[in-house]
Amino acid sequence: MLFFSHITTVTGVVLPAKQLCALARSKGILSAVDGAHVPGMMKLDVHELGCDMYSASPHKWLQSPKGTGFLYVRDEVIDRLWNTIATEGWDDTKIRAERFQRIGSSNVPALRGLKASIEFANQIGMDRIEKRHRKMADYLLQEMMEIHAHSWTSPDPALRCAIATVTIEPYKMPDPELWMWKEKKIRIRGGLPSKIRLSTPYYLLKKDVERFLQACGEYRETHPV
Amino acid sequence: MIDRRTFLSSFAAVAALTRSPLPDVCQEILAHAPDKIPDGGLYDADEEAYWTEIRKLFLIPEDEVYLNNGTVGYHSPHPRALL
Repeated sequence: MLFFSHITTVTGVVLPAKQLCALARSKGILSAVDGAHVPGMMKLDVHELGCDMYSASPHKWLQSPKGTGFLYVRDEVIDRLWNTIATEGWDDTKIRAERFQRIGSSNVPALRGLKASIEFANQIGMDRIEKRHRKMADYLLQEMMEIHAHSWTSPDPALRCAIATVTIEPYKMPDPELWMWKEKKIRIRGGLPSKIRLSTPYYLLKKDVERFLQACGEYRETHPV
Repeated sequence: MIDRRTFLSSFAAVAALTRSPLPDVCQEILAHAPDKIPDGGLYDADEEAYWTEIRKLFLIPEDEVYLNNGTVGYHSPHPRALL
């Protein structure tokens, strides 16, 4: 089986998932895609992608309730999978993928929240959202490189979306991350030794990005190396 | 027999349990949040103004900036439509 992340958590690189799935299929290998960051960040069509399995964590970019998620299994593959939950219907292949998840007394409010978050994103429009994500991340990455940060994401704009990871040597985490929140009320995600992962969800405004860039300058001024 | 102080304290505990779990700052945002997504015409006219209206639909205090997404608490802001 070929397993890979559609978008990598640390670097934000968008892998060429369609090509990788096609390559796996051509060799008779199953493809399983970790799409934790994808729904809500980019348009997603699992059928068009050609994967055998796809899983996601919609609390990230769809802002769905925590604890929600989904697993897609291509119909032709369903009968080849062993079910890890042995409850009524677990071996009934007629019910297709439902045998992997018997709803029963599960968390219905969370599922309703998931549905609401999908409807909300679709009302805005995923084309519009993805365009905004790319625009803001590209701008932020460019500005960070202007102030001598080093990119940790792909140099190809097509292979990145709403995550720009950079390193800011010689500063070490977590000090800049903690300073940003404590002094400026700006949340960033630090990574050892000197990485910061910058996400640009569509509710982020241009003035927010400018405020962060200004704060970066202030941090450098107040923390001479 | 239960004394008066204990009896009244039990009411306070129940009251605390029935309060909204959202912080006051979120209650304030919710009270002033628009009730619908802005019209697409605004996007065509002024993209930044459109996203500014969208932001108002989220539980994000005015003075906070989130360059991280999907973390804990109300720093993982949900749109009003989910609440």
